[in-house]
Amino acid sequence: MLTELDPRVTAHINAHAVLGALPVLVARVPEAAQALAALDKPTTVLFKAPGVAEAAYTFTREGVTPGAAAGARKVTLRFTSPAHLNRMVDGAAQPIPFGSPAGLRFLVGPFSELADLLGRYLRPGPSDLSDPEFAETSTVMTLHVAAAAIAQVANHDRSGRFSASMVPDGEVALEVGDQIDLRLRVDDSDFAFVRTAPSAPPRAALRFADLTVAGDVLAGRASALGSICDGTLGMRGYIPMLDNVSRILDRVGHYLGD
Amino acid sequence: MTQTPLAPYTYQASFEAFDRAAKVIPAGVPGHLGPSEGCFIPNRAFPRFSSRAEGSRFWDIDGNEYIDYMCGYGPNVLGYRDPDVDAAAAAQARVEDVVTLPSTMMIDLAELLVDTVASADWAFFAKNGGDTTTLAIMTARAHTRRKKIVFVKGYYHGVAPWTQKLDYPGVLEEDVAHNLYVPWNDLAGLERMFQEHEGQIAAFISTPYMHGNFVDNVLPAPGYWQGVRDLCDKYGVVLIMDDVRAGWRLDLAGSDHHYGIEADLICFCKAIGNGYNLSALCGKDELKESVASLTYTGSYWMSAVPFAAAIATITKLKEIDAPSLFRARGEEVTSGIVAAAARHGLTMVASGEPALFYLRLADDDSLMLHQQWVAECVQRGLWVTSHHNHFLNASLTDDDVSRTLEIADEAFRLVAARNG
Repeated sequence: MLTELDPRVTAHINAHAVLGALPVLVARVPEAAQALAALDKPTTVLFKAPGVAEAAYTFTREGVTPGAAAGARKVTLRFTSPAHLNRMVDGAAQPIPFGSPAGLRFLVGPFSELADLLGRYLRPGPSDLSDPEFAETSTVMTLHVAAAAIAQVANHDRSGRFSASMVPDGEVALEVGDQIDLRLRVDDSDFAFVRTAPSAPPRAALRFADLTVAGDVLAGRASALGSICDGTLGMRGYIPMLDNVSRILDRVGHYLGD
Repeated sequence: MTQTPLAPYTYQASFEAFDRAAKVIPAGVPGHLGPSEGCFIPNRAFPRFSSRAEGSRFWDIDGNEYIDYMCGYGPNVLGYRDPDVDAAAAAQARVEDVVTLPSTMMIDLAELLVDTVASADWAFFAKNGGDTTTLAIMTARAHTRRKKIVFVKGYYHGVAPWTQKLDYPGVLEEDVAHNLYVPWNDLAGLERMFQEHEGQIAAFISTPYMHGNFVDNVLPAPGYWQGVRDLCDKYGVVLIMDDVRAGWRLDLAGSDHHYGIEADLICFCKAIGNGYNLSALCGKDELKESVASLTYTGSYWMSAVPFAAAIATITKLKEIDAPSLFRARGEEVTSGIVAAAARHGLTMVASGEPALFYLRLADDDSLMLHQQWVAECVQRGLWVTSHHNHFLNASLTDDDVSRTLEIADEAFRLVAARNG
């Protein structure tokens, strides 16, 4: 157990997992989709910080997709350090933007609205969670962030890399009932969050009974071990994969927790 | 025992008790006897609490009966409630147990161990296996005044912080800073490790063969242990054999003796007292003053009842030549299970020593088929596991083995039909 956090890992999580929930936000929240309704052309926003793998998201009227798109308007957000990027995500600093006037207007308009909504769904207040629909979307987004963050921690964090080195190749599923099946693909200790629909059974799976259980475990209101014991969190398949992914998930909690 | 039940067992009383437990005990049943570390997959296929045990069987609190191939994860070596062991323990209990001074029963047991275990010149008693592995490491460090310990990848030597890893909750990086890892059966790798850290390595610690979880167990290659012994001697490294799991089932003179060497320190627990709680570190004369110099004790470590039980256990294990019995029984059980799997088009792999066999259905790489088979077995009265090696006890009868194979066959039939 490492007691210190690495700002470079936090920046990878922010750039690739937290912001990686934007597609889910726009797909599930009408208010978010509405923010893009008047977009005149596809716009790619790039996030660049020293020592952090570049992240890009392309925004269209139909939604958000990870990665840059050819022909899209390009806006670049530069950061002087990983910590600078992290402060931006926390709302405590501004990036250094580069782009056309239209691109900069996108940043202060629709993108800013989406960022506010993202923060609200990933850090909901008690009144937000009293709305079942909001709570469900919040949990689904948190699950996506957690799954994507596992890959970032496994690949970039010292403790995460140690855990990852003991995970054999194959796919690990994070399931919620029969509704959600998120996959992590492991290849020679390198983790990737799979954004496409699964095409084959996983080698190992963690199965939350429902979104309430998933929300409680991910928010730390229930322990994963206790949930396994009472049966609300099921496991099956090659358990050493789950054992080590659970350790990485614990480490993700250190980065994302308050 | 009844015939194989058509309907699987149910566990209403177990689950009600578990609900009570979860309110006052973290995780309900924490550790290896619980649903998480015990790999109860799927969760509802396994009971939670037992009510009684006798010989090779136990009963859960719903009254379901099991032939037990886990034996409490090893302690049950003669059979639950063995009358000779229980009588010896009861006789001692009538006289004294935990007192301000130890009983001479402790000397009797130490003498028996020195006479029985080939590499033992002395014995130091504690309670759990982990007490002895920790004591062995402290002894090696005190003796050599070196820091580093070499482990074999996939090891398990208890739960003390030094036995865990960098990414385990509650374990500091400093706790494992001096741990080095080599693959099993890799003499060249071990020598490279010894050379690279020459003068810094206090001990090499290993089980007598690789009986890690979730993987086929691997016996030592010819010449491996002699090679390890020679390297330890050459580089001044203390050779620690962790015989907590395999001890008393392979060779009553120690598993190091079974594989043709003498360890410097050897750790015993589990089967040493047939369920009465004690452990022992045995070692060579040259380490005796080092272990004597340590500050290491516990409230119950010199209780006399377990000493009496251990004397009775070891005496009886000798009388019945238990290791030969276990080898024969293990081969009978595993060959029967492998053949039953094949009748249903499935491939069961049995590995490790027959006395502590590990099973794995090899028809997929996820263990999911194996987990299904184990769940069907348990629900019909055959207690096996999907993750861990098994343990034999001397009370297992021919009828038990027949019944084992009958249930195994039925479980294979169900798994084959479901996945066909």
